[in-house]
Amino acid sequence: MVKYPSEEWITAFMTELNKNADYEDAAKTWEGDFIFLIKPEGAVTQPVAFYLDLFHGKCREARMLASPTERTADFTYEGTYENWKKLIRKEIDPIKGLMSGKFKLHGNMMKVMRYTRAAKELVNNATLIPTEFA
Amino acid sequence: MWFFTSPRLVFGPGAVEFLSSIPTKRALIICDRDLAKRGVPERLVEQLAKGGGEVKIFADVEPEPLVDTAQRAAKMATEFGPDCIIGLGGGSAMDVAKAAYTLYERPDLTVYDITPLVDLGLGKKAKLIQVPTTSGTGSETTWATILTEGPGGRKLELANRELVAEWAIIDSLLPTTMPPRLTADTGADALCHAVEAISSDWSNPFSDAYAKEAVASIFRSLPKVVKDGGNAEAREEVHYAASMGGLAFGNAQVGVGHALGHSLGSVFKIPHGRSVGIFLPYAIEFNFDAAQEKFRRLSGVLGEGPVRSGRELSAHVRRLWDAIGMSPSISSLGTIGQTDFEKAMPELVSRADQSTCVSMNPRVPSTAELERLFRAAWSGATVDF
Repeated sequence: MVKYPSEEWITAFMTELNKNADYEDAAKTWEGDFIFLIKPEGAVTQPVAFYLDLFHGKCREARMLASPTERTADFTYEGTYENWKKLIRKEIDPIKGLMSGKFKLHGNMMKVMRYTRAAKELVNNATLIPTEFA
Repeated sequence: MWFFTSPRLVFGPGAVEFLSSIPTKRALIICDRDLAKRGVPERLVEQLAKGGGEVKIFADVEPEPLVDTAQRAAKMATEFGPDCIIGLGGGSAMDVAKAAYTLYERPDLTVYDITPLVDLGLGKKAKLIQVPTTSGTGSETTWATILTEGPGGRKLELANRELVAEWAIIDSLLPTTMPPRLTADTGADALCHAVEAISSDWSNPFSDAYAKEAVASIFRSLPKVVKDGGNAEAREEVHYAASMGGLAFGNAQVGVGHALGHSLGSVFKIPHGRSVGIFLPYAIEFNFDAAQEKFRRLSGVLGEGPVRSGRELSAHVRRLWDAIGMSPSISSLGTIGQTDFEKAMPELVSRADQSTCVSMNPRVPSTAELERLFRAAWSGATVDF
């Protein structure tokens, strides 16, 4: 089991993603990096940010940032810890989550709307990691 | 937690009379050239005039409208300053009305800013009213607008909840002059909306209720009104069913059938209803195992016992298509040569893949599966993968 959120978890996420043929197919033309921002709630008392460099179906880099302001990215997908838990457990759809205000997305919306299949596969990938929530 | 969004509806034969009671100083009617030639906007002008409103008409909407058309309609709105924008016609006119309304309300935006992920802050200058004359795209009830980027360009699937009209006026006298071909095409589109909404990942009890009723009504009355356009009862039933189909898919989304149909339609300029209609049986076969319980909600709705398999359900649709003269395959359209089809395959697959519709499909197709679906639909083969 890998603790979430942690450096080990995002490393496991990257490893799984780069083996994930469904994601590679859906994101084969995607170029753009992401920050996944976990806002404090419940057991997580400080904001946590993961950085992912996603390019043509692969993840070139993934790490936990020292702070949410350590760097910027093309896109930031943010939500509270409890909502991230639900997302990883597939209790929330990533797009529905945005439309119902449980998550916020910063970045080029029109570009993301052309890659909703890749977004789904990216979230599905998270469910493949045996996760122990904080 | 989810939402169900609907305009206020006023319906019935002659329902456009309602316009005389809406306080309006200046109304911009957006419609297509054919409707304008037939004098249909004048029925609305007459009612608006009773309420004291001044009216201008933008009558330049084309089938499968371009972004440029919406921009020109918005320019007319900006110059005229309406407090009411009315989309009158089929999906094309109503979709242009939604986009023009957005650009009029927010001249700082482009159509590319219309996504479901942002607050647009509309409704400060005008109200939006939709009046469908086809039965139909259901656009009068939805928050989606489909525009094409340029001639032969990709279809933009733009959406935002604020694009739902304040009022949808569903007047069953308006579609009575639709010829059989258009009646069949637009009715097929309505059925696709209803069936795809039922199987969508985002289906919910409210969208299901409208979808089931729409399916039953269309199976019952579409063949009748295609055969006899003067059958007022059948015409009315199909007209309402189209709006119900819109309420269903507007709140549950559509799926791979529409992704494939948008792609084929944009590459080969096939009218929307005819294009998505081709793919419905194949989409059902592809999706059935992943959405069996959802499809089984149609048991009894089609009046012939339980739905047991994708082939059985798709056979119902194929029989209906045969009754109304819909093409069962892409090749049988007779307008696309096989060489052109093969040459276009990478673009067809790319456009379908980038459609938001695939994401809500109960079984998300890979690019390889999208290609296989196109090929099955080309030849008429049953989908068994």
